[in-house]
Amino acid sequence: MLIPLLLAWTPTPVPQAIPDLPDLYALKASVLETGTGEVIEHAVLLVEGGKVITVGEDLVVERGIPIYELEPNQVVMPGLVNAYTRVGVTGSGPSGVQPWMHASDELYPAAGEYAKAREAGVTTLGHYPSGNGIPGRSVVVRPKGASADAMTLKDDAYLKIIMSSSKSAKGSLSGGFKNADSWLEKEAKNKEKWDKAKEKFDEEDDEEKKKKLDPGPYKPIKEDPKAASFMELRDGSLTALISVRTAGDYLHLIDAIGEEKFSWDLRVVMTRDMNIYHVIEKVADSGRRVVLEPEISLHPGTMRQRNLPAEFARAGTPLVLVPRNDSVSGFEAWRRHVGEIVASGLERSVAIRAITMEPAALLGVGDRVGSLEAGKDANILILSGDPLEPGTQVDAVILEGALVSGEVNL
Amino acid sequence: MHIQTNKKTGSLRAAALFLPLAMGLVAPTVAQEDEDPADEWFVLQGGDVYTGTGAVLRGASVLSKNGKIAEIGYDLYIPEEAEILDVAGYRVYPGLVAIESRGLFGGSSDLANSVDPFSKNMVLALSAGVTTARSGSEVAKLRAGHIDGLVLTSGVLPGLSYSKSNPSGKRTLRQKFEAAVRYLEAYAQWEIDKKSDKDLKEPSDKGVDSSILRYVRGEARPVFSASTRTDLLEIARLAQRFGFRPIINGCQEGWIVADELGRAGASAIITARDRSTKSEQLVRTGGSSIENAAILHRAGVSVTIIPGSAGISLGGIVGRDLMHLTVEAGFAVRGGLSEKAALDGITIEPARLLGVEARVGSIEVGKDADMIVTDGDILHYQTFVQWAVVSGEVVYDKEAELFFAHIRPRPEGSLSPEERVDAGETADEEIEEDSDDSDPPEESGEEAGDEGDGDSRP
Amino acid sequence: MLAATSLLALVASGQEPGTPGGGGLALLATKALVAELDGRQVVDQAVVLVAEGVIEDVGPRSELEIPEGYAVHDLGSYWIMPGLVDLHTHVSGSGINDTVYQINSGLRVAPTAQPANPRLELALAAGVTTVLYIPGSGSNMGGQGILMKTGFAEYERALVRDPGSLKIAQGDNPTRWGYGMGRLLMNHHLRKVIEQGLAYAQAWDAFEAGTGQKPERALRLDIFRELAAHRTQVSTHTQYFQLVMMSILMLSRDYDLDVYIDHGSFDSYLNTDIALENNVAAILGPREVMWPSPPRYRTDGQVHGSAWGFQQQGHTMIGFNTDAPVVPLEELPLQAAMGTRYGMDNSAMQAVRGLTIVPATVAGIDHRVGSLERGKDADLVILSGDPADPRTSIEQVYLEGESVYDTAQDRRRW
Repeated sequence: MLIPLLLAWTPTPVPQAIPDLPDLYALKASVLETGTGEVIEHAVLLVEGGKVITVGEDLVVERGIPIYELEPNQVVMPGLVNAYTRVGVTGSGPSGVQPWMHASDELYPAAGEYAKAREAGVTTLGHYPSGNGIPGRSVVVRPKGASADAMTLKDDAYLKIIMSSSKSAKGSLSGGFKNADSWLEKEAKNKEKWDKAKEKFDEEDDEEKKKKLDPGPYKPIKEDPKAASFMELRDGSLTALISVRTAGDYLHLIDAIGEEKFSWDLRVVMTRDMNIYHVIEKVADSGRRVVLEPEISLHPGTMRQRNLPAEFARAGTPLVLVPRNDSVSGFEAWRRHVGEIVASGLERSVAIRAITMEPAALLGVGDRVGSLEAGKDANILILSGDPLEPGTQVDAVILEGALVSGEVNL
Repeated sequence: MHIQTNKKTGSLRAAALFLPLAMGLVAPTVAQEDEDPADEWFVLQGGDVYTGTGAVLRGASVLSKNGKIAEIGYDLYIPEEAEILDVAGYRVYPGLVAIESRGLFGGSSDLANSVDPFSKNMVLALSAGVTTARSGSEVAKLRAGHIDGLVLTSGVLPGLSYSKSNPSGKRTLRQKFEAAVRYLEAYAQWEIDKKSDKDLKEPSDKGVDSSILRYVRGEARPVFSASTRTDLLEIARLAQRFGFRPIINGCQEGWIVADELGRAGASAIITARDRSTKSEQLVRTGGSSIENAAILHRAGVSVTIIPGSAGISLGGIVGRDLMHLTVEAGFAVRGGLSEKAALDGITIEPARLLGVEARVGSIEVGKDADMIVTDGDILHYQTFVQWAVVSGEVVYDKEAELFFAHIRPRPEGSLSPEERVDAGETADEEIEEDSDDSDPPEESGEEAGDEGDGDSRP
Repeated sequence: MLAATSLLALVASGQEPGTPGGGGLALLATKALVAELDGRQVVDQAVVLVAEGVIEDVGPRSELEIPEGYAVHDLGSYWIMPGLVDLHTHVSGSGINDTVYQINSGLRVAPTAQPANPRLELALAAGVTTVLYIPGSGSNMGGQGILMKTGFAEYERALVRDPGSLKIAQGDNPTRWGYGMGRLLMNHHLRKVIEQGLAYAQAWDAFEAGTGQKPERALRLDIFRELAAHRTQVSTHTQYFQLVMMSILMLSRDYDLDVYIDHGSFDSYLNTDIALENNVAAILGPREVMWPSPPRYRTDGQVHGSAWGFQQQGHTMIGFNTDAPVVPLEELPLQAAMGTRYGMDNSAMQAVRGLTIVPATVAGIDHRVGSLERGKDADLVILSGDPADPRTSIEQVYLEGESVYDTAQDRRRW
């Protein structure tokens, strides 16, 4: 039975192994988007050891360095950075306040979606933890690697916080800081008690008595992971990404934060006729980044279109755009959707930045990815044309200097 | 546009305002105070101010400082940085108070933490003139766009059940009142006796219902939901026996026992259009009456008015929900209630029942600057609220919202007389207050007019 | 004849002036809202002369002479207006609906009428003197309504016309009839029975003209003889744009029946053009406001009054109804007030006309009621001011010259 089948089988071409690029090479492109908003024409990009060595206009490349001269239509830009995704990770989380949890525990390195993500040009992913309330911290990964360690770019990226107009959501945030305060207070008392005992011990001359008075080495009170997380927020070693749906939620968020100072950015959950526009100026004044989807929404009760990303950007808010759908197909449509809101008013340079450099900064990996600048990871997309045009294909993807999708020709 | 800051309009206005001051014609009460640059000033300028206290000040201004009314009158000193809303030709009324509401605040309880200050229903309620409303046991202001300064008080209108359909419940309640009264009597006696006997033990309040004790002491007023004559009479008797003042919600047959309710010091929360037909088994008078509000009011029962639906109805039937609070008040007028009492029934009377009358319910110095500006008589069906001001800030502007801007669009500038909604009314047709009105005007003077205007009828 | 009448008046003491058998009556009012369809609207310092239960004349006191022997009632500052007409009510009897079949063209509400019932007494106290009592909207073709007066206790006296209308419901209600009942089947049913009915009417006409055989009597089709002869109308329970469109196109354009939009609601005003083309009046209420609810119901965020919408596009035959008991009959004037509030121009007394002469005209009873015009029934309402204003109190109501409600004697009912 097997034999006829085998005979009938016509071999389909086995995918060719992607050829390795050399350690040191140069790319020459007619147009290069740096990711910071700048566009370089007749650009030369030098890569060595997976890093960008230099980038500039018409640079002279040393003899002997292989030069990949791109087609005149091709455009180079940094790999896309998706700051808010769960494509590739698995698991479900409860709601509650557990800021010590890590999305890195949900990683599934073999997930097929990562290959698809690479093909779509996404070279950095910020995975948020599942669950509601304050479910934990995100992890930043590259879509490549056989183990969690090999994938991870940065653990303990932003703390995910879901805010709503409710006492419980507000209390989770403000209560977290209060809890940290009371832990600190208890710890201070504990230390004070020990200090006193130590003092007594030090003052005692009688050896016999001294033995009895020995308080031993200082033992702090039991660690509280919750309190510790909020102290991390305070000292700046942890940032937060806080989700809201409505303008009212934002006011309640500000109320819940009160006098507390910590680093946070805002994510706005988009709905068809959302009312977040009421607080656009307030958000802009706060200087926080806003994570949005590249979508046109409607003014409530009407069919009047609102380009909220453009409105936020015009008010001066740094914008992070994430795919409309958190799926592989969403990744593929991402640039096109960004193009749509650029066509209806969002500034182009802001849009490019919003899918590269700004999300990288939000994730705390702005020093490594998000733009094509000297010293950064060589995460490079080679596109068949303007990144925001509907028909533009991803011709090749280079991740940390290595070709991971498509091809480039010498 | 109407809103302008004094600064932008240049020195002319400021000079004109300073002139009488320099000539010593006006006592500069506000100017004497130290001005803090952080103070927020707001002026409703040149409207006909229906204060709700009986006075009408034509073409007067209301000055608000940090959300409170600082001054009402003419030729006020207006600080440089004040925001001015020119309302010449319009009427200014106190914001309406809804004794009951549903769905205005987004959240259902704990409003300070759950309010949606941008909710559509809040805008719509403001468009209907409502600036304060009870939601559950909380009383809050419709301070659109803000989540602070909202809740005025909570724990209001505690309910008691006393109905002929629940005889054992009635008995239990009576026993609770008796226990409370016994305790108070014993306590009073103890206070006398302990002067001679210092060791005398204070009577125990064990087993005494603390809320009932508050009613008997007059510290709070219980609310009964009752409508039948029998229940109303029994509540009136209970109230007189135990010395509390009941608030009666519903009160449909109140007109039949109005005198008894009046003697009991009752207050009524009524829907003027309530309909209940008399039981055919009864020989006596019964059922609802359009005259209910008027008859109760004449008997000394304070009347608060609420429509049949205390929510915002978007089903297309208009005129029966909270958006038409003034229509309900109009139906009370139809039954003979004076226009002043009808307006009180949707402003100061509910404010009193909710214990917030020191803050809202009328335009008086020291109260919150919660006012509505209308293009005519507030009780006229065609009148629209043009602006609503809460805590000295414009929180609703008819022309800025899409809902009603297309209906009789507001002309630029002041309202000319022919544009006002004053069906069948001119200034000289205004009539005196109904003699049965128990609230005499508190302010008088040359400017003080009369609030009871409307159609004159014999 | 004259002498005999006077004699009778003397003999029958207690006979009211103005009623048949009584002497003449002159009512003096500050304002008379005449409410003609295209004519006089208001007479100031008016006198209304009533004799034999009908209006003899209306005019300014300065011009109109009061005949000798007439009882004169000076109403002081009160106004006087014609009794109000509501063309969509279900509260004049017990026959709300019969939904065994979808098509009930033969059913008549007449046997279920309860004249002067408590709800009608309240309506009367609100000045509503004539109503169209119709079957409910649970079936596609509900049956035949009756036009009746609210204040007479005897059926014969209360009845204005039977059949008052053929009730057709094109709303969503009949779709509750059972599985598979949708717009397609409902409209198919309607067309089928209307075509049968019109053929039946033609056959009778032919027979009566001597050109055809005597058709077999069919109770369920008799109503179509009335409709074909334009002696009665189709009153439709119709509400949204699409339903109203079908009411107009099918019933008026396709079959030339006299039809009016009854219970017109929401965005029905989007049909103004075809309503005007087909001469179909718009009787609106009680859901007479369209809230913004895109994407289907697009008002660009605005709250649209149905009356506002019809008027904006040039319709003038706009009236109001309650659909009592959905909204109590006594709130008929409020429907006009709300139509005005939500945008209808009322500068030419459109609200008053929409409560009186417009519904009377579309129901074909304007020769008897709807305005203060010579020869019409003396159905008069004495009131304190603007009839649409909820504050306005109604003091007295005359029905065919007879005082049937008087707050000077009766307890105020409304």
